[in-house]
This record gives sequence, C-alpha cells and structure tokens, in this order.
Amino acid sequence: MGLVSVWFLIFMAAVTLVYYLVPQKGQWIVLLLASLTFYGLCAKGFLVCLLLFAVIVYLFAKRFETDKKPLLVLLEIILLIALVIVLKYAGWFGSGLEGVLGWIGSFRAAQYVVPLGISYIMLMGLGYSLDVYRGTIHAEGNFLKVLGFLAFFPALTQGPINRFADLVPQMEQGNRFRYETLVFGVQRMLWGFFKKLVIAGRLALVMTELTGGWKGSTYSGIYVFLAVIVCSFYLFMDFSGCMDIVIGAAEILGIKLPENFDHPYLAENMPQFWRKWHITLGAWLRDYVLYSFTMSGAAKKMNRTLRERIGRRGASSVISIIGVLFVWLVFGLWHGIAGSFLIAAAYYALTIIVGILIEAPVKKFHARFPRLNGSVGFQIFRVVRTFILSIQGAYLMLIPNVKSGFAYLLSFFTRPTAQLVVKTEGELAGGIRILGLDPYDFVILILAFAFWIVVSLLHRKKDVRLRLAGMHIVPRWMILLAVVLATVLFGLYGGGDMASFIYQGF
Amino acid sequence: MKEKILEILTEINEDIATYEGDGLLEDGIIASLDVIEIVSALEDEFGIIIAAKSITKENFASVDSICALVESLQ
Amino acid sequence: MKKLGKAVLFCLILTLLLALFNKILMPDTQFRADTKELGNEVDYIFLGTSNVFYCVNPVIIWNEKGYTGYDLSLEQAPLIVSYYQLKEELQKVRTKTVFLDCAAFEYNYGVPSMNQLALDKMPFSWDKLKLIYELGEDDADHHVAAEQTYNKISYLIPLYSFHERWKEIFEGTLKSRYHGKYEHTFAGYVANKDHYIFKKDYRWLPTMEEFGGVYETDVTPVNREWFGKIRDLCEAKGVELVLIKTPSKGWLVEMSKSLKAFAQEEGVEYLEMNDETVITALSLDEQNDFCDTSSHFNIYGTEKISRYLAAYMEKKAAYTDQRIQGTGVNAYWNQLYEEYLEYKNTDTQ
Repeated sequence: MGLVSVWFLIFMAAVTLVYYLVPQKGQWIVLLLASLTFYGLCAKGFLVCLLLFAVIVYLFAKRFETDKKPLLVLLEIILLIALVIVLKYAGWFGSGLEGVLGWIGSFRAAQYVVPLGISYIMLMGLGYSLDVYRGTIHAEGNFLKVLGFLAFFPALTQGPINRFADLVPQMEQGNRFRYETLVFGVQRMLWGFFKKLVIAGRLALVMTELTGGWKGSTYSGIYVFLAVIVCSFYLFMDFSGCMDIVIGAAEILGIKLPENFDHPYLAENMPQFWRKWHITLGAWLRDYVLYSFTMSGAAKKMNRTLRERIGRRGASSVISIIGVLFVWLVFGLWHGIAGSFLIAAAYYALTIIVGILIEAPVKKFHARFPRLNGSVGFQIFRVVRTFILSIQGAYLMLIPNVKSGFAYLLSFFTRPTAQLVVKTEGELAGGIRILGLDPYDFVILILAFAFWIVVSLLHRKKDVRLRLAGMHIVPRWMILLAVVLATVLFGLYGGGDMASFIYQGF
Repeated sequence: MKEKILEILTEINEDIATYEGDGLLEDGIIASLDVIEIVSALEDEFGIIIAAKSITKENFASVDSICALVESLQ
Repeated sequence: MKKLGKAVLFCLILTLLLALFNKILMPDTQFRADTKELGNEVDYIFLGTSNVFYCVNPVIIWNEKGYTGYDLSLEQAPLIVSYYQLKEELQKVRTKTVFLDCAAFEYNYGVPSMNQLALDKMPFSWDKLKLIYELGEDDADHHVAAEQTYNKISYLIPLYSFHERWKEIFEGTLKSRYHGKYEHTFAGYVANKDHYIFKKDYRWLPTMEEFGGVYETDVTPVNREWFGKIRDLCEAKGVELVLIKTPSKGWLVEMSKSLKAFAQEEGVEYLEMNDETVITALSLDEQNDFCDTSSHFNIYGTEKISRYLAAYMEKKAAYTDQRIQGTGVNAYWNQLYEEYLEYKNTDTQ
C-alpha cells in the first residue's frame, strides 16, 4: 500500500472513523496502531527494524536527560547510521543492481523501500534525542509515544521531517471532530493527487522522452534546457504532491504538520530557495548540523583566531563555508551513496558558497546603483537566476549516474541543432507524439499546469480552500467536482499502487 | 542595552534597523552567515555563550527577541 | 447536521458522475453470449474458454439432432469464473448437461486483463463481490504475467483501469473494441472463415518435451477446489457434468493423462477429443479447418467437431429431438440455422 493508492484512501477513511469515535485522550493510541498497521501493510518484515530504531532513540534520549557526554551523541549517530546502511543497502544490493542501472530502474530503485521511510525516521529520531541533549525538551518517558512519533503514518514514507515538540503534544491532546478540518484535509489530499497523477505522471513521460532515459537521446541543444526544466517540475510536482496528500491526511485527523514547500519557484536567491523547497530537511540540517558546528566551541575558537587576521566578516565567512560544506555532505550522503547525489550536493553547496563569497562585491554594486535593488525588473532577474540555478540541482538529483547525466547536459553544446518536437504517424505507430505525449495528453498537461499556476498564485495571497469556502455553493461544487473528475479521468494510474514517489526511497 | 545590540546588529547588516516584522531569521533578513557574526559579536560584547539550541527563529525574530535572549543568558 | 447533509449530497453527485463515466468508458471487448431468446430450458450448456466458442456450434447440433443449448464460455476464463458464471446461469436456466472444457486446467486464476473483461460482463451481485474477493493472481508462468493494471480495485470499479479511454470519446472508437472479432455469433458460438496455416507441425497430444517448455500438468489444488464447486453445484441442481477437451494442438499428453485420472477419481465422464480415435473420426484438415491458432477453428472445422459432439450426445440418450416435439423454440432455432447458412454461403470474410 502506497500513499497514492485506493487502498490508502480506504485505510484513511477507516482510521478517521475510528479516530473520532475514540475519546480524545486515547486518540494517540489509535494513531500509533494505525501507524503500525500502515507500516505492516507496506513493509511487513521491517516492523522489527522500526521497533529497534525507536528503542535506540528512546533509550539515548532518556540518557541525554542527565548524561551529556558528546561521545554518546556520536555513538547514537553511528548506531543509527549503521542500522540504516545495513538495512537500506543490504536491501538495495540484494534486490539486484540491474534495477538500479536502468532509467526506469533509477526510479524503481526507490521502490526498494528497505525499510520504508527509515531515512526520515532517522532524522526525526535524531532530532528528538538532540533536542533532549540540548535541553530544549525533556525526554519522553512513555516508549509508545516515541514510537508513535517516529512511525506517524502519514509522514512515514516521505516526511515532512517532524519535530517531537511540534507533533507529540498535538497527538497527546487529540481532536474533536470538526467538519471544516475534514473538508480542508480532503481538499488538500485531492490537490496532491491531482498534482501527482495528472501533472507529475505526464512530466515523467516528457522527461523520459527528452532524456531518452539517459541512455542516448535524440533531443539535444535547446531541448536539454527544456529537459532540465521538466526534471525540476517533475520532482516538484511529485514530491510536493505527496506532501499535499500527507499534510492533508494529517489535517483530516486535526494534526498540523510542517509545510515542506512554499512557492520555491519564486525564490530570489539560493538560501531563500532552501527555505522554500524541502523546507523541513533544510531546517533540520540547519538546526542540527550547521548550528551544531558553527556554535560549537571549536568553531568559535577558530573564529577568534581567524578574526585577528581577516576580520570578523571574513572569519565568519570561513566558518560559515565550512558549515555549509558539512551540511551538504550530510545532504548528499543522506540521499544515498550514489555519485549523482554527492554531485548534486556539491553543486548546491557551490551555489551557496559563491553567494557568501560575492556578498561584499554585490553589496558594493548595489551601493553604486541603489535604485536597482527593489525594482521589479531586478527582482524578476533574481527569480529567473535562482530558477536556473535551482533546476540544475533538481536535474542532478534525478540522473541515474553522473556520466550519462553529464553527457546529456553536454549535448546542449555539442549537438545544438533542434529537432522536430512533433513526431508524426510515419515515425511512430499510434499517431502523433509531442514530446512523447499524444496530443490529448499534451493538451491536458498544458491545461493542468496552467491551472496549477493559477491556484498557486491565488494561494499565495489567501488559502485557496478559504476562498472556496467563501464561494457560492454552485460554483464551489462545480470546481471541486471538476478537479475530482479530472484527477480520476486524466490521472496516469491504473497499476497496482499507481505510482511510487521518488522521495520514498530515501 | 538595546541600543548597543542594535548598533552591533546594524553594523553587521543594515537591513535589520529598518525591519519591522517578527521573522528576522525566518524571512531571511539575516542569513546563517550573519548569525555567526552576530553571535560572536554578542558573545564578545556581553561575555555570554550562545549555544546552538538558542539559534531559533523565535529567539531571532526581532531586535527585541535578541535582546531578551542576551538578557536571559547574562 | 445541515453540513453533513450537504456532504452526503456532494458524495452522491460525485458517485453518480463517476458511475456515468464508468458506464461510458467501459470497453466492449470480451465476448459473452446473449442467450435470452433461447428460453429457460435447454439440453446442454458448454462452459470453458475461447476453445469452446471457436469450435462448438449449437446451430449444427440442433440441425443434426435437434438438441438445444449454447456456449457460455469466456475468453481465457479460469474455473473460478466458470463456476460463478454457471451459478448465475443456473438461477435462470434449467439444463440437463454441462460440458466443461478443460483448457482452464492449464492455469489457476488466468490472466487479469481477461478476468477484468469477464467481470465487466457480469451484472453486479453478491456473487460477483465474492468472485472478486476470491479471485487470486495466477502463478502459471506460461501465461501472461499478472498485469498491474488489473486488480481487485479495477474488478470492482472498472473505471480504475479504463479511465484513460476518455481519449477514445474524441477518436470515436469508444464502443468499437470488438474489432469485428465477434461479429457473427450463434448461441454463443463465434463464427469465422479465417484460415490459419501452421508454421510448425505438432502432432496431436504432444509430450511436454516435444512441445517445449515446462508446465504444471497435475491438477492444481486451486483447480480441484473450483472444479469441486462446479461439481457440487451441478449435483445440487440435478445437472450432469461432463469434462471435455476440444481438439487443441497444444494440449499435452501429460495434461490429458492427469485429467483422465482426475475425472475417474471424481466419477465424472471425460471426453478427450484429442485422442487418436476421435481425431481420426473428425478428419480435420490442417490447411482448411483452423482459424487463428492451433486450438481455434473456423466454421469448417467447427462443423466437423459439432457434428461429432451431436453424435456423442445422441449416444447418451438423455435428450429428445426438439424438432419432432415442435416446441416454441423451434422457430427460433430454425431461424438461427438459416442465418448461419446465409453467413456460411456469402463470400465475405
């Protein structure tokens, strides 16, 4: 059972029913049981791993309450990582490398969810015990609550990466049934299904067509640029669509999860982009990796030494750059041992570090042309620049391996001729193809994408669901029915679990 | 004390002086790089130690919240 | 409360809309005989797969001996589907004999896509839900691997697998999925005049080694279970059950043997039409009688096989010649025979 499946909808309906029938005090137990059931249905054999994980996190956190030896933190990290490596890669290699090699394989590799969502559970568990270590929260005495936190089923497969202090009080408190909460949650889920099935599914086909699955493509030149854009939007639609489903599902149960995306394509610079894209991962890395380093005694000592030579700003920059390198190393390794993830991480690190290095000259530049900063034109320039910088990172996240990924990028320069986008009947059985889609699918993709843009822009000013609620019943129902029907009819699904999300394997 | 802190902050990033919201860190007015500089400056000035756990969006929401943080650590 | 009422109304409208699209987009691919006009009392019913509806012509049997009946077979139907088909049928129709073709013993639960189409043809009922629940996935490797598109959800809500056919509304191909394949049918028999020329010559009842490949030739537990249910159903309704294997060049001698043993064990009659004596009697023409594969026949092969079956039925002495009796169905059968002759004698394919 995946998140995008009819089974999940049935499961959700059952959980919701039971959840609201149980007194508020006992609702967290319903959630725990639902989470364990969900995990059991998804990856039966790994329930034990989940428990083992929870036990380690629970015990270390209890210990951190009184014992604050840094070595213990290191021990916990090593233990958890070792467990992940054993489970994740043993499973991965065991499932056969051939799956990892092919293009589809590169996605299917993510299906070897062995064990499901363990990377997310690791970050959540580590975050919780580090919070106890730092003394920001107290260790939870009830093991079942720690387990319930780590295994919270909507967020289990792909995040968002929850914080103990945010989620557990909500679970403990429980919720009374509110019709509006239910409706808003369902609407949010619907939007996720729409993004994932109608848009991401088609973008995946376009991506495969343009890149030829990175096994040699006839599309080169300007199409490479298009492919990179498509890759980025595919990743976004797939991942953020999943988040809509996850957050919507939690919302139905009256639980507010942190957002993972916030209009990332409108970011004006790369640091801002990372506050808008995979937000909870960025925040986790910032709080537990970056600040752990930059606020450490060693870093502060280094800061003082450096300050005398290169000034306060310079010293801070050096510390910051080292911290950034740490963050992105963890980022890359967390995604997987594949070279492409490390390259992607290095790329992202580079964009941030260059930003730090050119800060002073840029400030001087703006001091000379004060009217530029804040003008609409310059703002657009910044958004477009950030867009171009960020899409390449998404592209690097998706390539099956470094060599073919770069070979394809290079064909932008080496074979700059543009081919026909439309392939006619003569070339392909089954009619005209535009970028790998038949004309119907192509039109649907364009319309759905336009619809997404409109909804996103509207949502920026005011929650679209509030807008809907304020509408007259006839247009409101017509819009809702249209979106449901569009998802059902135009969605690309129809196989078992419909489709697996990319971010499920990490 | 607030004036002193504001002076330190403005020296590092002049946008802080004109900022009126309550999300200095969240809105990206001060970047991670600025945080390092601010922390080291505050530590020197007030003889305090600011730990990683104190770097939260709540503590770095506004000039006032930074003042409160410094006070609580003194 | 008012809000809840609205929510229910919304869901109702949505369900109706989905049901509408479900109806519009449902393909019309699987062939299932329309037997309403044959009355509610017949002599025999043939159950099985395409092997049956490509070689048993009830019109010929009528013309030969005056027995009435029809083919109730579905393409690649597994025994479980045949069982529920029969259960549904016996609620409306009385028959003396059920002939169950054994092709389905080659696999357990068959091909999901075919089951999908079979289920789509089945009206909604408690039995249908049970069938969906009980229908397993097939493990037989010589059949198409289970297709991901078709599963219990799509069996229940066909829109799940067929929603993409919205494109065909614009193509105008929405309801033309038959591709003319089942254009001429007579009491469940699918007539055609195609010719299939063998690329490789198999003898009848080849051994597994000759045929190539490794197949399960024992009667599997799944098939024992569903055969048992068919047998019990027939017993309860006082219907005679006869196992039969229509001529089929891919039918292995090992399969044949284990079914003979199985039939004996079950105390059921088994007519093996691939045995040398039957094949000799049929005198099938390899250049002229087959239509698309080694187990499907055109009208010429079918006539030979149907005549043989008519004679076989006569020997059972269980049926009376309805032509002499002159019952109400008489005119209808004569009309069917005329139609068949007309089809046979026109030059078109």
